[in-house]
Amino acid sequence: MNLRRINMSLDTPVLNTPNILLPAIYSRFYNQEDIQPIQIDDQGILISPQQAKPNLNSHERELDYYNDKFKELMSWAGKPNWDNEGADRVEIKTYKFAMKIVGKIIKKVTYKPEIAPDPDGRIDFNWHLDDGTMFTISVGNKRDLVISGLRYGKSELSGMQVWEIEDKKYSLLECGLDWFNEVQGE
Amino acid sequence: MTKEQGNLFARFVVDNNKINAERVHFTAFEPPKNLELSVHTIDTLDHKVIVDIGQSVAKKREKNLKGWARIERPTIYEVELEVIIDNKPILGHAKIIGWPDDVQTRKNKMKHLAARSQPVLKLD
Repeated sequence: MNLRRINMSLDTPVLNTPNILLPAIYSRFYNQEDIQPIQIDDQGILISPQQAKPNLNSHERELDYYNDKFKELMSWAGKPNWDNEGADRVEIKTYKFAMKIVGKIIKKVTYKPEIAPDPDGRIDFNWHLDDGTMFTISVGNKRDLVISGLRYGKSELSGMQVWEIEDKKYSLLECGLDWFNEVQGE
Repeated sequence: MTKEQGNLFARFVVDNNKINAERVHFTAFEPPKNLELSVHTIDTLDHKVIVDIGQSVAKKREKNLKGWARIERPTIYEVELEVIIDNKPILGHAKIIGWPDDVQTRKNKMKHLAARSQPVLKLD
């Protein structure tokens, strides 16, 4: 596929794109923190940032996927009261800590979680499998991790840990991911 | 409202990815910051009436109703939570209370509620 790279400003028209779609396109490809160029293929079709980075290896592509997810999440959950019920905003430090956790998740688990803020301003990685297995890694703004796993209607895993020294105390996370890997394989 | 009318509750779900024919995603039971999870009594109500109530709830959140989790009062007690019918802002409104402050116990209770509830999809 031949790619053309164009730098766009907000008033640059997108080729062959109805104006009604432009706000959605801009919100998908632009955000306040990281304005990046849009690429279109030789058919004039927009391609996603992941597709536009052919040199990324699989690990980087996975990180890129999560980074995009977090940026989208921060665009609305980074503001107080995002649920209209008094929720705390997700702080940048929580987002950065969550990205560190992603590195661990990618190495262990292929099943992608739902990523959601919780009303305390935490970021949750949630898995809910069809067999009823439920697993959460919840990340707080004090570098604290909460793990919760339930299977066959019974709690099998629960714990909290503050990540005091980077990479020195992640046994709970490792334990949680190992548990989730095991139950997926059964 | 008699006690019999407050034995069965609906937790309305407005996100597609939180409900299907087999299960309700446990995040549908995430209580808000005030730790009062809104539900609605549905004991004697037929599907259409429940849909109407759910639609009005969804509309306030600028979403569409996808379905609801059906929860019985004993289930709520089993996970050591309570339910109070307050009829506010509408008749039949109730709230599940007694959520713990600590996150890990709260997340566990959400999962237990999800595991013990039944999904009901809105019929089009």
